[in-house]
Amino acid sequence: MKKKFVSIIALLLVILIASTTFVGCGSKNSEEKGNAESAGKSQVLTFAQTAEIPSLDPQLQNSMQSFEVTNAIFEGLVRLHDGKVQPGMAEKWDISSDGKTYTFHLRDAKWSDGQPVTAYDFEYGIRRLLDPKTGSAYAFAGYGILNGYEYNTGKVTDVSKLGVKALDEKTLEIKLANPAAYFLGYLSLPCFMPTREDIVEKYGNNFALEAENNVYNGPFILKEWKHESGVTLEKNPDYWNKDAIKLDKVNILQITDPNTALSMYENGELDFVSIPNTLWDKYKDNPKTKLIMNGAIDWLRLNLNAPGKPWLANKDFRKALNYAINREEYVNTATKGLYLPYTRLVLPMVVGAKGGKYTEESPIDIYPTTGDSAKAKEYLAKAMAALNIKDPKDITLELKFSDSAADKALAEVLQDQLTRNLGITVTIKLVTYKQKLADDTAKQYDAVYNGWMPDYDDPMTYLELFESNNSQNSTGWSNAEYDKLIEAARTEVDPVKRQQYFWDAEKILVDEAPFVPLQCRRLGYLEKDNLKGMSRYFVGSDIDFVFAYFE
Amino acid sequence: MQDPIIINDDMFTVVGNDIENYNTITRPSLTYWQDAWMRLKKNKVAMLGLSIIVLYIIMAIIGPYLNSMDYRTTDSTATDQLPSLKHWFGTDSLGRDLWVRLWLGARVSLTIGFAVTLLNQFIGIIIGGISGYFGGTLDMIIMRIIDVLYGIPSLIVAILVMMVRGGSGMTSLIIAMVIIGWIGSARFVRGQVLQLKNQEFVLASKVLGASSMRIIMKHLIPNMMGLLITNITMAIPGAIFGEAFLSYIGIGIQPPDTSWGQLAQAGSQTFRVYPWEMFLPSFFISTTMLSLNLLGDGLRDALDPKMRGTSR
Amino acid sequence: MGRYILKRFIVSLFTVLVLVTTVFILIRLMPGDPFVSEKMTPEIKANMMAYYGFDKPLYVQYFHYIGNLLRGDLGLSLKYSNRSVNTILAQTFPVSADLGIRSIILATILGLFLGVMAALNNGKFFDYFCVFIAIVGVSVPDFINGSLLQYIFGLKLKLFPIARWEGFRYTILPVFALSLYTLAVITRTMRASMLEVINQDYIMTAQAKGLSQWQIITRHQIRNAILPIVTILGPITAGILTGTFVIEQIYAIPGMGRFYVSGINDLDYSMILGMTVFYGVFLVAANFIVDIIYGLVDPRIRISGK
Repeated sequence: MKKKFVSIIALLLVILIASTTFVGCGSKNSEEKGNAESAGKSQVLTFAQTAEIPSLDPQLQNSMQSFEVTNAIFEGLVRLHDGKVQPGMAEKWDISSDGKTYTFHLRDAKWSDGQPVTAYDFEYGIRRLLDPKTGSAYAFAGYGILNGYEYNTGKVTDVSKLGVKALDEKTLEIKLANPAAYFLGYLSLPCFMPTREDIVEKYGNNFALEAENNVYNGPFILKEWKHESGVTLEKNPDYWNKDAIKLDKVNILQITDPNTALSMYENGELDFVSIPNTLWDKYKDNPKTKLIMNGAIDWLRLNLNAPGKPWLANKDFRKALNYAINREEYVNTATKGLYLPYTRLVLPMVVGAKGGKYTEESPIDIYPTTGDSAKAKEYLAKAMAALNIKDPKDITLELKFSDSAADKALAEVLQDQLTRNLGITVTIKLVTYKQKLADDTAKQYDAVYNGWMPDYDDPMTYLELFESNNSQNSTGWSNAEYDKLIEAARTEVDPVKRQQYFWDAEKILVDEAPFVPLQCRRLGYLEKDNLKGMSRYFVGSDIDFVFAYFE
Repeated sequence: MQDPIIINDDMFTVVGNDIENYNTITRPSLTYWQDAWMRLKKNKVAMLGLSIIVLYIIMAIIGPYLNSMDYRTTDSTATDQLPSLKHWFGTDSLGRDLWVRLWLGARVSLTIGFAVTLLNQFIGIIIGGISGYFGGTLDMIIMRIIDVLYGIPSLIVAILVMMVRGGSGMTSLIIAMVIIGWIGSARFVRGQVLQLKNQEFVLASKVLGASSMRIIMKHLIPNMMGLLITNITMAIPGAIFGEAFLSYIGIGIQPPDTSWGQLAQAGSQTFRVYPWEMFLPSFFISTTMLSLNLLGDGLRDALDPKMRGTSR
Repeated sequence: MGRYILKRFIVSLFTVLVLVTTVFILIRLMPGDPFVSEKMTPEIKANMMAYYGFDKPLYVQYFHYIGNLLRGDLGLSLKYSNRSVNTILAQTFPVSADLGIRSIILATILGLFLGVMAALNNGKFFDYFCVFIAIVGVSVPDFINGSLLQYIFGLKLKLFPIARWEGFRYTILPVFALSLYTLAVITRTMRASMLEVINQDYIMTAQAKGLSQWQIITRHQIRNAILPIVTILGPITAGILTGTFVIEQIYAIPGMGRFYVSGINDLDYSMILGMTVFYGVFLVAANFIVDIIYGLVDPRIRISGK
């Protein structure tokens, strides 16, 4: 009995060790092959994404990882490159004089299975996006289309009432609810990509779950999708503009740990890499380091109706908070100068009506980025007098942040500054990301840290967030004048007048301060010298490699 | 074969029939614990371990007051500094003094480490002891409950504890870590009891009419003390890092308060630039572990009932 | 013995059911919901809730889930639109298991060896060396030793690949990093257990019987001392085989470890439940096997005798 047991164990061990070695030998070959391939590198781009691509179904995708890939393997009516709208599947288009009807004329293009790309594919895609049964998280993108909101929420059930119609194989008509100058660029979003009804029906629930379960019409074809590991794209030989595409192959690896990705870049395995925020200090003076603004802007949202905290309803107190923060010092400490200190709502790069940038044409500087502690104390004193509070310590404020390490550092510096400059009692509460969002919606916070990524290049994407009835506005702040201005901008066709409405509205918002603007997020990255033509823009796909090439 | 041993009178001496000293025990009467402490004191290595731990505990209490720095004042002009006369252990990435933060962190980490481990072992001994000793259906039920608890993702429990208590902090953290933390030690104790309960000395005790309670307390527990102490010394670092992980997801110690685990975690993000920010907290965690292990070994020897009365 | 196994099997199934039910209730109590995100509107959320059947009463969802579970269907992931949890686990588990088996083998062989040697050399240099290794193993957390090994041996010395899971050379650093903790635990436990056994009466009996030192060590000491190792190996194996978050993340290994954290962060209900079922089955099976091995290893416990 004993001997038998010992020998069974021994046998098992031998088998296990042997199999381990065999597995090792087996895969070693493929690995060497891989190395040989990259040694003869001509036009192969390799980079890392931080998470698994949640979906490559055009209408179901909802993340940056998906955007970066769908932008390359599909092509919508137009293509957005470096912020400029270029013809895509649509060769040309007409816009009606009231700015509400767009007619697109499609070029001759093929899907990767040889079928022609038709207007019906676009019609089907948009109908699918807005069909409530699809359950698309990005359906809101189609709310600008006539009856888009009504169809998605079940108020209109007749799909033919939707403002999207294929007039024939090559002509698509889209009707909008309101004129929107940004709409054309908006159409480059992945959710507006054409989708083949027959393919969706063929694969059913498995549609687009694997590389072979879909067809592609973009500059690249999805060749392989190794889940949790990465995707491989190859140049599409049938793409209409194939001469403009120089890359033969693109490997997108999934590397979650930013330090690992950086090590791989330093080892020559990646062609560009983001610099982890924590290491910005080391790389900021490096001549090879590049810096972009990725479009995100962050603020503390204040809950004017927080129970037991009447000071939050007091405008002077909110202004005191805005004056008390030395944003220069704050970003220099918490991010080593990576983020850009900011004191208004609309991102600096948003395009203006007069050919420049909106924020330059319509400047607002109520709060200095270095803070103003004299003014802060003055406003605090006013607020305390109005509320009949003697000791500033009696004023409490809880900063709600999500639990990421980066957010924690921001919270700690803000707490320190507010405590020191105002003498009020500030605490930090870290919660899970989901709980933060849930508490935000449920209005259970004093001050919650959050931000916004723009959907399109227009002040509207920011300013409508603080409209009284916007579902994002959980502050309880409501201003009739502000609502009127935004509504006026919504229907205004003249860009200069429209911009004036935005400017007036933003001035009201910043002065009333239902929020504390903090920073524009910036991202540092390293890129190989011979890699050219990469585009990183603040709307649309963060990383656009479609026209990239190696010298 | 050997020659038969012949026993004769020459081999014995008469000690007499001393009625007066008949009931005297020559060995001084010591309790189990006094005896253990006496033996522990003689073990120099173990005493070194004990001294280091006591030193850390003292420093955790007085350390933050030894220099004039504040634990939460950030300073953009003094970030990531090397140790200096002003900042004895340098500064962290927000320019805060690491000496002060390390000793404040020691308070949290040592409290959590000891409290969680001791509570876990305490509950584990009781439940594991009952399960293993009585066996049968009771054992089956307890073990299956343990299986269920083991299967529940600990993160869910932690998040729920935080939610139910409406806040976080040391107590929430300890509750979250004990709710499922005890099952490891319960399983372990049960295994030990199963092994020990059929041994001869237990049987002898049973035959002599000892109660179950007495057998568990006087025989089983002392006999597994050695392994139990090894277990405890191994579990404390687990608790210290468990705290860091939970704090990371938002339960537990809220910033700007900190702990060793959190300091080490923050340091590990930047170790290629500022290695000391990782090595300092790691050094304190490791030396604590080392001392605990040395002490643990000494304790194991000291508490082993089979070594009673012997001195090395 | 056969009846015992059957009974244990039924009880094990019941255990898994209780586990699933408990977790099913617990995750619904968690703050937030799967679809909440910065840009979510109430209308779109309602559509998504309906798509996944979360608009129905909770008990309907529960019985629906259990019904599917009995057919082996773990449902659709909420984060990875339309991908089934079965597929995700089928793709990621083999990788985690591969990594796990390698590190458990490494840890067990090395750990037993070091533990036995330390005990036999009690108080000598080798003993302290083993204790040192064990302490380093337990007191340095995986996020530090994983990063350090990668930085030194991957980036600086270029002996091994930095990350990814492409072949044997890629496995060495993560396997070593992952096995350190288990190695330390096994070394320490084995050492303590051996020391305990060495002083037992039956060892003296064996010595008195005139058995050779080697026979005593292998037949009596190790065999009796190994019991606590078997106990701790059960849960450790289940834990390691089903993936480890930190090591998989640092070395970009496409295993299932990340879902423990990301599933909960994303409140991906079906993912969390799927992982729980999977892990639960593993754990229950491991304990089941451990109980049976107990009977084989320890001559004093005989299951059949119960």
